[in-house]
Amino acid sequence: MVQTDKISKQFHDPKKGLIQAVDRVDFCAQPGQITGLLGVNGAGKTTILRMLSTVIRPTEGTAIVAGHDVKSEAAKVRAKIGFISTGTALYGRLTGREMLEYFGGLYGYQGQSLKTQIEKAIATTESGDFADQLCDKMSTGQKQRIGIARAILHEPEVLFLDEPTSGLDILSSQSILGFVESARDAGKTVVFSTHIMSEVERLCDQITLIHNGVVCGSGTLEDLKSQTGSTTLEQAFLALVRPVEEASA
Amino acid sequence: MKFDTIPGARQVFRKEIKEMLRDRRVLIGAFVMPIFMIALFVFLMGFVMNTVTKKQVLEIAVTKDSDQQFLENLKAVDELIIVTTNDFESGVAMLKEKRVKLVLDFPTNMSEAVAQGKAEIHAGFMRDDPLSALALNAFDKAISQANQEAIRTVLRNQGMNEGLASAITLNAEDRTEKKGMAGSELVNLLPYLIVLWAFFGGMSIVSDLVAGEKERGTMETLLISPVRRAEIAIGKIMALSLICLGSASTTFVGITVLGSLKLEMTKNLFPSGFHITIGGVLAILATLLTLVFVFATSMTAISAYARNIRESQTYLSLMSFVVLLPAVFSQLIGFTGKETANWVSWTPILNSAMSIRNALKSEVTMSYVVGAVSVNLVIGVICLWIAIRLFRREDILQRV
Repeated sequence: MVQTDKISKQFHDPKKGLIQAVDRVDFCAQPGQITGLLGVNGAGKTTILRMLSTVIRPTEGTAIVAGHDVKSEAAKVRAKIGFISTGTALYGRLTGREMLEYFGGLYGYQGQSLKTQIEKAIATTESGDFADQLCDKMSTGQKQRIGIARAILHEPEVLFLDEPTSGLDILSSQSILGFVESARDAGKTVVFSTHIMSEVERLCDQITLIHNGVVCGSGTLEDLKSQTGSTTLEQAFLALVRPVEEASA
Repeated sequence: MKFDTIPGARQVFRKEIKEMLRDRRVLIGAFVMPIFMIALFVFLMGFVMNTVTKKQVLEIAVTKDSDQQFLENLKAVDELIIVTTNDFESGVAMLKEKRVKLVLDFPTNMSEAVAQGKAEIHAGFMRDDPLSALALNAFDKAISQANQEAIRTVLRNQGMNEGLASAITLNAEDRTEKKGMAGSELVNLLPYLIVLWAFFGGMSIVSDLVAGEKERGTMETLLISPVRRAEIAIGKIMALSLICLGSASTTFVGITVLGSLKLEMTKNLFPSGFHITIGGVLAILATLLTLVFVFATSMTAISAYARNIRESQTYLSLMSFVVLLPAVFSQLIGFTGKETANWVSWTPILNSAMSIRNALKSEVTMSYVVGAVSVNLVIGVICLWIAIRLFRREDILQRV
């Protein structure tokens, strides 16, 4: 489970001064569900996921991920999460299998248990045909599969996906979305960040709308539509974002 | 902190080494280039040394109005080729065209002038041409001998002891101890090259190591794993240290192989052969290990601070001057007479180069070794602390 408690992040920009990237965001993601963070580019989605995955520290507030506090138990949180994004690359001069061996070692696996975990991850992502190729020689879709294999190698309780289909072709995107659904079906807590409405409509059990670093709506797809009297998610999104936009203007 | 107790660092170290050894830039920059450079240096210097030690045949221009008898005497000298010119300025023109190395203008009646003690020879040479300066020097010696001969003749004619013409003689002996690389022209150059490659070997890859990972997005993946950030920094520094050490050692191995081959081309570069004592090897090892620790920690800190590969390379290029200057000075310190000054032992990089230089001559100078090792350790620990601090700062590690 993921539960945030007024999580906030400020950055210092030498030219613009203090920037409030995320402001007291509260949301909850349950096991066996896909929770969507929906927002335009620059809304603060990636910053939220970075805080939840302990890469950066919240300025205020905190969050509990897989039973551990992101501020005080960062190492324990990292051992229980997987992170997938199109922005995170692979090591070009390692083969897919070597990459998995490396990360398996970092997660504390050795010997036979490491081999078992690698084979499982390769089987789940159907990467066997290219796992022994250098990552530099792989197609974008193949890289994404190895990236997923790396993220699930240690069988994490919680999966964070940051715009995982961005820049991928339709077949690779479908494969990723299929993987996200299977992770939900396996009882994982999935937090899925995107700006693509159709993906949210297809996948998400719960949706949190983020705009200018604040939550401007949350609930199921039907809740959001009924709250705004809209017939589509797109209309609901625009209706909920507008007041935040006007307030910041 | 034992390496075994930081398994994350060991994993990072192994992965980095595997990746580096598959990187053509590292193989060329850290291993092929040092061997190529040392081979080039040795063969070029060997060629120069062989040329200098061989008797040179020098072309000299002499004005046609010069004393004919004196001219004939000069022509009889094997090492000289005499070319006659109309006047002095024509000879200077030939000198500028590098057709002759010296221009001489003798008095018309040289013997008479010598008898009167007023023989003045006008010589033209080019200071920037080593062979021209050599020709002048050789001719100057010949003049001194001629002067002595003239005095001897006068003394003989006067019935006096002609040995008074050379009453004082100088017998110089080269007492350099024939051990290590003593007496070799390479002994000043080699420490400079070893220090240089310890730095440049690592510089070829360090930008990729941290700034490159930030730029490509692989750093974030690493930060999400349970490995501690200090372990990431230590693993990367260990890997970089090994590459720096390998690169510096390649130079040393290269010179050992070339010295052991006893080639005709390089015989003048190794007058005492090539051998080094166990103490010398240990001193070089202690100095190099701590020196690469300094280079690896400082370069990793710079790479961590930089936003991207280009910025890292800019900072490292500036840093290379800090490394180069003391290393270059180590070649010239013999001319200053300050080799034994206390401050040399405590000057970073210079002390390492001096420690290596003396060890190569099989003269382990403890003040240099202790100075180099302790100064390197202090700087290395400070840079390690800075590198780990930078790895823990999200504003540094996240910025691209």
